[in-house]
Amino acid sequence: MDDLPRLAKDNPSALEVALLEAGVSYRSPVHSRSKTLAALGLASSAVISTATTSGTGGAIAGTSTWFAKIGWVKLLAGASLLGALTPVVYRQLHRQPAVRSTSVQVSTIGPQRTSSPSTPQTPFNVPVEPVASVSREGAATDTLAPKDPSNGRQSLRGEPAVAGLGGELASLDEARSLLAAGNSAGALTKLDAYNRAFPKGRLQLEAEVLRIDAFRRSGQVELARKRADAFLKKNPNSVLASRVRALMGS
Amino acid sequence: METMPSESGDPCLAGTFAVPPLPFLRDTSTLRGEVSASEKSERLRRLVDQHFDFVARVLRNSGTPESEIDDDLQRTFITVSKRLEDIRPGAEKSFLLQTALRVAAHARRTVARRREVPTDEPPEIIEALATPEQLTDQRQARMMLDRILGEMDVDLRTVFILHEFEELNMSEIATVLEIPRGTVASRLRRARFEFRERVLAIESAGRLR
Repeated sequence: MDDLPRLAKDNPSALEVALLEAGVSYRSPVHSRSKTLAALGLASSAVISTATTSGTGGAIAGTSTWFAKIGWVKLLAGASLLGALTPVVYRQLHRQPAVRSTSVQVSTIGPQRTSSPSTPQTPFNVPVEPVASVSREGAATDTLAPKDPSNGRQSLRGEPAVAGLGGELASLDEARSLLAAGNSAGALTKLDAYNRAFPKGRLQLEAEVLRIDAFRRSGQVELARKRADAFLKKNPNSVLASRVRALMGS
Repeated sequence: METMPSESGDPCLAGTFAVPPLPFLRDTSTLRGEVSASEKSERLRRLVDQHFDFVARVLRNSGTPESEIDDDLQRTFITVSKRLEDIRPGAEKSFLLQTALRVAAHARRTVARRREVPTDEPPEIIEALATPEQLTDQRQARMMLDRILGEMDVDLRTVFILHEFEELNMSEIATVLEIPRGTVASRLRRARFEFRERVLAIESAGRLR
């Protein structure tokens, strides 16, 4: 049995063309991808996603550990070959007070890809400033600075000077890492800082879930339960509701 | 949260990845776990990169309201992430599609319950909009498409969107939906007929204005 031709190629009327185009060309809201990556615990990738979608209309962010690894290799190779520059970079990093960096930014240059509905997404490179810094737990955490004049430098307050969703994701990523390392108090401090930095942040719900988990792990079970109940009352149908219920064992 | 997409045997099931031993291990079991987690994250990222728009279109065209798209996208990928190790490499898109269709079906049921609309209520009359030549607003086209697709039977709608928007052929649709190819062909013909009938009705009403 032969396959039917697509309606779009089967003498469509003008209205049919418009309707079919509406179906094919649908795009999710701008930050859906970043939110999904954050929900999957891939927040650092979401920073990449945000960085690359913000700058080019129609381009879809691609994240890839393989190209980040290549960038990391390049960074190491560059640092070893240009050993004289390393102390300069180190001094520049530690010029700013307080918060130690827990991210590694890689520098890669390459063509950006424009997306289309039927073509698979491939990794692509975004130029960022190379930074050598302490990585957490012995494993490199790859983040790319969004297209922001501050380029991810630490502010005088010690908070990353990365605007928008990229900054929120990076902040929550740090809190999540502290929590995973058993440092609930540090995670709560980081979450307080997030609330101060982003009072109307788009990831407030994700931050609240992390906070509930941090309270629970630090032994403040009653407080965690109170906040979980408030969260579920306010957001009963949120995709995060099931995670909150799982945290509280209900 | 949605569970397995198929009760009749999952064509996407696969064995676990073989992790090569690393020379400097002190606790090989721990590090093997770390390598697997890293591989999983990488694979998950690739999934999102490659198929995010596809999943969003399927959800939207399957009836997920715009206000619920974010949540349903997350539900779909979270569900798949929990079953990632069971998915055969190369079958991710099929698994995502099946999951997205179930998530969308769940969303439709939830919306229907909220509105307390009986399922056998007669279909709404589509309002006649401007003539096709004047229909340049993408949002209007989207609203009209939502209405037309919303009035289709779910089975017809699913086959229609997979064929017309995602360009799957009938064999591929049959595989994903686990129905005979003949059933796909029958549903597709009916869906296309209904789609064209509705569009014709709109065009006719527009000419009468």
